[in-house]
Amino acid sequence: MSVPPLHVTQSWASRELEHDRQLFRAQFSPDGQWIAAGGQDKLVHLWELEKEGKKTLEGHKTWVSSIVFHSKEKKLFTADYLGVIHCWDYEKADKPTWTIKEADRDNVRALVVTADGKYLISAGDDAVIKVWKASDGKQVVKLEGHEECIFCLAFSPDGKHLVSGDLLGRIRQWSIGTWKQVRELDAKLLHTRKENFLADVGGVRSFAFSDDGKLLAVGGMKEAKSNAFCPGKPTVLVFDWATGEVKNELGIKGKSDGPFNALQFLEDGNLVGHTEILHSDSELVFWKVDQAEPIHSIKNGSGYDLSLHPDKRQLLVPTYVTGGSSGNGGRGKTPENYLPNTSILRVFSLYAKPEEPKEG
Amino acid sequence: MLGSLGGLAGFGSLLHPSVAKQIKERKKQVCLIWLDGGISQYESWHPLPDSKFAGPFRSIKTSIPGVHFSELMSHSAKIAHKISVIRTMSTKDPNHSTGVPRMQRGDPLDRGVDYPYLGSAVAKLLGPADPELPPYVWIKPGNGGFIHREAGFLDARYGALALGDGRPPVHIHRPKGVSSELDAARNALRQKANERFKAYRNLSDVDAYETSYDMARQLMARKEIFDDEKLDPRDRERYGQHPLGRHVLQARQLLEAGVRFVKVNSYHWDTHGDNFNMSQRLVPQADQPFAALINDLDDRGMLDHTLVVMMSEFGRTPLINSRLGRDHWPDCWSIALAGCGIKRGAIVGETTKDGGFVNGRGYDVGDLFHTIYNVLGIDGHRVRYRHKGQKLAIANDDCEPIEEVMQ
Amino acid sequence: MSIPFPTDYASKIFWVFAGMVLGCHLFAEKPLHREIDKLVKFRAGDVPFAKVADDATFLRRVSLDLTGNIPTTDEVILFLGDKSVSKRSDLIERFLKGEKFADYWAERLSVMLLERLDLGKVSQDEWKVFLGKSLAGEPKWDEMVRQMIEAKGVGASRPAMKFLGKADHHLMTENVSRLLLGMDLTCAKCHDHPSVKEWKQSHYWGLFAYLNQTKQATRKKEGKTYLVESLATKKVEFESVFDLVKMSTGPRLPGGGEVEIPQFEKGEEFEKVAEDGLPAVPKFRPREILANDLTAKEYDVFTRNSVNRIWFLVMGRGLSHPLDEMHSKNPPSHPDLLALLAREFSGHGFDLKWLLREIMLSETYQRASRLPKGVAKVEPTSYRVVTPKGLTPEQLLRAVLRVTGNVGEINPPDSESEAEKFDRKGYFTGTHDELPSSLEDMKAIFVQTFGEPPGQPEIDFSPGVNKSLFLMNDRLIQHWLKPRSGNLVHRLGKLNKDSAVARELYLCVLSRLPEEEERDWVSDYLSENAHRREEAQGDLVWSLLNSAEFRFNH
Repeated sequence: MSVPPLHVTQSWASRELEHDRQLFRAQFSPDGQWIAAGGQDKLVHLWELEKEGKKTLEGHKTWVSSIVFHSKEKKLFTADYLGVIHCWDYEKADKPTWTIKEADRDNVRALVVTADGKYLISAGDDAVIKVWKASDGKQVVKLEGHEECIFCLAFSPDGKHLVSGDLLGRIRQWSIGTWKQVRELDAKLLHTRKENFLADVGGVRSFAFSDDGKLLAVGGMKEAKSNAFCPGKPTVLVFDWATGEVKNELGIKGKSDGPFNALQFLEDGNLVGHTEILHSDSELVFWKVDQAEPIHSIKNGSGYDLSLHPDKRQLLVPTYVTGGSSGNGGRGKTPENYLPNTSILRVFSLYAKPEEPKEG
Repeated sequence: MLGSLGGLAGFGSLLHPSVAKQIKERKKQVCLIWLDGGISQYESWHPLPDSKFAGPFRSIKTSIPGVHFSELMSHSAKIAHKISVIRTMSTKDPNHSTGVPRMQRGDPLDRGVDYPYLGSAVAKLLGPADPELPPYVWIKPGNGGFIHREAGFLDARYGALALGDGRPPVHIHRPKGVSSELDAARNALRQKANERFKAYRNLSDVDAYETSYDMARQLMARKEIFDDEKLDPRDRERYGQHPLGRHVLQARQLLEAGVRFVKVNSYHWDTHGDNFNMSQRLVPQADQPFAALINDLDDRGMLDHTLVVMMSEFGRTPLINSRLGRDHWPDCWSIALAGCGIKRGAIVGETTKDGGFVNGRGYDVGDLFHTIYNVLGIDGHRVRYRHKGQKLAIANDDCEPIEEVMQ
Repeated sequence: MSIPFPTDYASKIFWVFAGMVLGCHLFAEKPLHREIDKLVKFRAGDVPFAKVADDATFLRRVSLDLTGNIPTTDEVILFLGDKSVSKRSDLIERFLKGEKFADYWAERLSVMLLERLDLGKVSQDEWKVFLGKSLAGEPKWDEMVRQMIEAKGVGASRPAMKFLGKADHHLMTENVSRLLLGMDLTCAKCHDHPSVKEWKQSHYWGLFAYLNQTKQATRKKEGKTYLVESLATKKVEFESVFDLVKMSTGPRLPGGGEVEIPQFEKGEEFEKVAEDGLPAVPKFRPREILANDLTAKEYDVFTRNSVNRIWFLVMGRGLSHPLDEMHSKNPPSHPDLLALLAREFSGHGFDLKWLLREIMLSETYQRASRLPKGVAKVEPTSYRVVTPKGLTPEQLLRAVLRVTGNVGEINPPDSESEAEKFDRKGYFTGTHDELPSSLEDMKAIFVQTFGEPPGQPEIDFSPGVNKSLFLMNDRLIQHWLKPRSGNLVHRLGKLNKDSAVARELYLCVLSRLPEEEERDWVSDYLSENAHRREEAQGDLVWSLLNSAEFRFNH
């Protein structure tokens, strides 16, 4: 079946999966048949899409922070805030196949698998990138150099390089195989620490390489005003991969005040990203990368991840939904009706909604 | 000189050395560490990792069996047996602008006056611990100055001497070329002029003006107590090389010198956004110096007569918002106390399983103030201020001391 | 229009009686300044009052109150030597007509209205020029306030909008209520005021509803920002945090009637289309209505607050004090006097100079601050003596500069290059050794030391250890006390006779002649320090600069 042509301005929410707790990561499997998601309830949730099946995997002892499907096999890797990485044979088993107990002293914030399926690579709070064999979780090598926690990792499309981005806005490029640092890129605009801040705010929160490997989009926020509300201007820096210099700075037209948590290049070379905002509606944003202003925005609750379906037409966003008790103070609520906030896994189809078939 | 300072209710004559020594031995002091904005109780004193509102961090054992703090409080966990924690503070005000003064004034029943902040109240009720030192010193980031506003309806002299970034006012140093003899001589001229001016005037403002000079000269004479060059580099490490660490260490220096009440402020704890990344970095900045201070006071034999309180104006919501932050939560939150008259190792207050609500006894700030006054030897129900002919309660009359944390 | 007056029985009786007394006096048409004295004396009863202040004291007081500085030595000598019977009223007149009045009162009103905040798109300089122009000539207070709220001036009158800052709706509501109505409604935003029963949440939101359509918009061509209004279509909704009952209100002044929000046919709502970056102008503009309603003669709340604040500015304390607590639980010290001033002020077209003149011609204003013989203490609110006021930070700077004679040390504003900006913060943290040389920098230093933090009202005298340390030890002041061509210490150095030194010293620093005892002190000190006479003269100046008599406007 051929896919409809990409038409982002006509995008529509084609599927919604509700969940009663907050989910921060959600990914399509490489074959597009599964969605895996995880977050606040410590469980790994799996939906088998066509069969409308649902599975829950128990094992993590705290919030799930990273999720990645194996690029070749039917395996899922998940990590959490205690530095644990589980490998799941998700179609069959309910327990992890193997576990790395201390992949980080604290939060494993980024988890990626090489396209050839050989290596699983993690990074997080201890500022060290760790390369593991994807088959059994044995450590291969550690890459040191970052000074502050690492938020994200990505591979160049040619599979030769890995990039890592940290809290201070520094990006390091590593060569796969020789595991040496090759270059540093400067995304310090995405980091703020004013004199009266108690902590660094922002950082490099997301990466996306263009399909042809010529551009690297780096997401975060600039000009944070405080380390309390942490409000800033959601910003994407588009780097020319060859020169390592910033070609463009992309922003939004709306009012969102959080970082770009996830970015994704589309087949037509356009870029999409999702940001967050306090107590209001945020947005899914589309750009032509040579223009600072978006070509299209879709109002959506705050979103924390993006995953592009292998058909390259469906975009998955784990989206915040208020449970109705948000804001300062209990304001008369009781333990019974003070309910947690929830999530919707919202899939946007990036083309015109087909007309309903006519009756009769 | 003593008379001109005032506030020495009941301590008539301190001139006799043995009397002075006796009183010195009895003197009680206070250190209030104020984390402005609202530290998250889930990320500090009351982690509850199985709660549906829990954050992602570990909870760790403390030195009290069965009691856990957040892993972000690793230093305080080791000295839990020396402190008390109240986990069911339950107050009314969810706003900063009204909540901060309300908490620091003890939320008394309104009598149409501006009540003094705790430091000014203690300065008035107990007077200076050392008559040559200001009774109330406030170490804070930003600018210093004399903050008379905190004295409320009390005389302006009970306000706070604020040290910007912990530094004494730059004008504490005599100008070059002015010896102490010359300074004394020209001040004598000034005082003569003032005596003449006051001869036919009876004005509290002029008295207050003179008092400020007396206090200024006393500060100049004792300026070494503000000199942080004297601090041991190992102490600086132990307290933490960040502003709050430095400032709590400076507070220790002032307490050792004999200042009655020292407040230390830290700002920007109001983590509505990115609460978990921020708490990970902020909470240890309070934990480390707090524990170091308790240990140092204990080692110096000062803990039994020095009250230490660490708190904010409220806690943070169980619910996590769309910016991965927590909002304000006065309904059920935590504070820590230690020292003078406070039980060692009392962890007080039952909450619901998920930690959001009080299950049983909740405590208002009026109760906290009664507790504070009580351990300082002041009966919160009987002692009264006199203001323009009125007798005013010093704490909320509807509240009671919190027995569970008192020795 | 109902007004929140005290309603208890005793106050009512007093009101009736005061009304009768007033009635008699008004019928006789005595000047206001006499009425002020009569009412003050009446309330105090049969007790001794201080005499009227001597000439030197009077000159210094009026000079500070109308021009913002102490008099020069020459002015003191001239005034003391003037034999004319009308010299005091002539002096008041001269000052009211002079240039310095406008500058100084612009400064004081600015501090009162803006509380040292610099918000919005009008610069401080533009605002000061506007205020100064308003105060030159015959300023009418209602007109000034109306311009500030209406804020639709262009060109020279555009800066009136500075009072409304950056059009933050809540901040504007709080400022209007506190500063123009004498009602601190800040706590009535979320619920009825917790301690003042007559201040309701609906008062807050009624005011808010006049202001919540206001926003900033910039004219594209000239690049200047103005305050505009959006279309108001419905009442403002609010609910108390305590009982969560939804309420609503249209624009309404406290004690006033609710303004109905007109509903227009679609397409009929605007009277001018959008152009040049400014949005369309709606026919219904609540803020403009507020400007008129609030300053209307009949709106007593505004008039009472106005006269209360003007009284405070010259007498050091409001008749109702604190200034933003005008409610029945905090009655004015002289309700009859306050009512009279309000009536007369509005009756005279809110003529500011007229009111100031009348207050200053009264004995109440001119009284000495020294207690009458045999009296040990009086209540400040009895006005049996004048209560000294602290000099404002700016007055203090100007007075110190005038005294030490170092005005020539100040660089004119244009001469300072951008690259060499004076590090004010470093001055206070002691990280550099430089001294400020521009008046702006000196002012900033004095304001930081003696003023309230931005956003706080500057009302009561607030001594502080840091302020006294400053006057004692500050490098700049020490610098001014060193003899330098033409300055005071240098001039003193040229005088051989001790008595001449004493005379020059006291005339210059304290604006009066020294008493015999004081001449003796000077002489003794100079004798003891004969080996360092010039420096000793600096010590004498220092001691008087640091004295209470200098610090206060007595």
